[in-house]
Amino acid sequence: MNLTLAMRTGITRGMTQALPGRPRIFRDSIHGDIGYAKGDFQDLIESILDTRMFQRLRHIRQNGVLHLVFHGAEHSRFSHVMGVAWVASQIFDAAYRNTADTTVCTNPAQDREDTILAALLHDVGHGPFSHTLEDILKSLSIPVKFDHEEMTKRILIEGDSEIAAVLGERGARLVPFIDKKERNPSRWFYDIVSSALDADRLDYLLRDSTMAGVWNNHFDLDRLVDALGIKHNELVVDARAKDVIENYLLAMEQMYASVYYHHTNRAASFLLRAVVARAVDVAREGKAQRAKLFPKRYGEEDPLWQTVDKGQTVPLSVYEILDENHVWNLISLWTGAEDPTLAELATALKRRSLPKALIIRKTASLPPNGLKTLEAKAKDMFAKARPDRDPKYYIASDKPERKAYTGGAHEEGYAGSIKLIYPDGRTEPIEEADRTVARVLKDKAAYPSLIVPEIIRGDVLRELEAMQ
Amino acid sequence: MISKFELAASCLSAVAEVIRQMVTVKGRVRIQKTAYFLKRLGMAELKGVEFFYHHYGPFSRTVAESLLDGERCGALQEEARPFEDDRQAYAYRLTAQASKKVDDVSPESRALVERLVARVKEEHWRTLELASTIDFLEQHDALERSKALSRALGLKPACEGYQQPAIRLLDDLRLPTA
Repeated sequence: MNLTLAMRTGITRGMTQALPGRPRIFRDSIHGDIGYAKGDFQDLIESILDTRMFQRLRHIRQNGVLHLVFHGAEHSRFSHVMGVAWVASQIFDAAYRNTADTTVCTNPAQDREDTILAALLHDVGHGPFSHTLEDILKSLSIPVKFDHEEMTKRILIEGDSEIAAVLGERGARLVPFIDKKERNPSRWFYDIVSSALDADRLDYLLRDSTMAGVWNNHFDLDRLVDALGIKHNELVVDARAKDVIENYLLAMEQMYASVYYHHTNRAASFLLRAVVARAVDVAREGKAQRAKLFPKRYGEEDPLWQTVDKGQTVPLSVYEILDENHVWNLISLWTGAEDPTLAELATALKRRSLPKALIIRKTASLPPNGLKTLEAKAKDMFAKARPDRDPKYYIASDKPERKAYTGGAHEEGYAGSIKLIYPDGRTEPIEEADRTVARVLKDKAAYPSLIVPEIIRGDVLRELEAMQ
Repeated sequence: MISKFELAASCLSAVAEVIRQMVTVKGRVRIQKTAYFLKRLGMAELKGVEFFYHHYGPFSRTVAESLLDGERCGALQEEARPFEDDRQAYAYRLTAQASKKVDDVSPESRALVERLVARVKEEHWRTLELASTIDFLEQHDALERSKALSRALGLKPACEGYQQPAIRLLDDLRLPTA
């Protein structure tokens, strides 16, 4: 075999390096050079990365259609999970080192590797457009429900999963990281993958804010990680790093307010949902329509159609070819659909001609039944303006709510709280500390809006002002 | 498909009816678990409300948001009360404006709430937590009662002393198979 072929095929991986002992380095836009010690574990990581299901994450954007609003937010879920795995490794190492108590792990090497693998794989079940796909499938009343965490669990343990085959018996050990119901007993390192201070949040806040160009929402990740420890089988933070934790929580609050729940992003997500919903509704009218809108792929039913049809029981071999490239191709196809509603909506999405999200600011004066009435009036206005169109594809109520800090609810104790640890060994939930912004950030922020087409925007705004 | 505003209005109606019949509800857990049982018993106003497993068993974001919506619009009054062990608890009551801001539930739903409230109002919230978790595991993970109980106690050691009342409650409620 000549050297060029060997390099291309990777068969002699490592042999062609100038420094054969050097681990493989992944150059990350947020964390710089990341990598794992050369050996069996690095080989395992690389084998997972090489699977079709994992490579699929390169073709799923981290934030759905957010790039239609923040043009830089084109990054993939692949880059995010690579970052999460790295942050998880840093958290494990810092917490274990700082605690200086070897009894917190029965098998430190295995626990560390499991934590990194769970972090790497925690999002592998996500479909195209991430959470938006789940909203779409929910709105379609599909026969079998769809939940990306269930897909992740299947990918970790199911017989015909390529990743499960690579993981072997490790796969089952990773499930409690993903599913709280399986945490018996609970272990402190599960918190690294899912908690109020997990590697997922730490990575996505820094990555999404950087890529979106919203740079004010940064915090000192190195100092935060360096201040972690373990107490009573939970992650704790050195109280001297309270300021960094507060920066992190504030970044969370502001990213949701200014980026994730940006009114134009919500409107774009609604238009995407409307396009897919209309295509499925038309396709459900008969086989001929279905064949046009969801053409078979080499004799097999379209992967999106199969997911609509089978929900979270869709075969993994089908799911691994369902990515955003596939859905965008379908949307391009639908711009020429015979159904005028579908063609109009698909064209609007391709051209970024988005509906308008009317933000309802004075929510205190508007009870939910008032908002329901406003929505009904908007649908009446639209029906008069465009009697040939079904309002359900053009008008939607949106009501995202979020706590920047999901600390424990007091009455049940402080499960889920971020705990500060003091020099005397005492721990305290951060929301109980003096003069902390965490207390304010525990309040749920609501961002209700009504999404309407431009044609009735003015009339609905006047109605809303009259109500407020 | 029910819209988000419709779901919020409908869920707040259900939550407000529970509070109306209990007069004062002590604890968010009590409201969450009562709503869970009502949903399982088929209360129409809770159609579309989803529960998932959270720290303290089945939990619905929509129900949690209803408490917030109700307080924001002045239909509910939340009061934070200190517990003996220095933890806080929350109590909820309807305000005088509630009838203007919240739609009534149907007569069938009102009767259903009345039956359930009569059965659960004297139970400790830990009993509701354990019973709802057992049922959730039975439905969601298709576990038999004994296995669901064992798993639930593993997840919730603090509920150890509430096994008997939780099982009695589940036997009395006769929740349907989902």
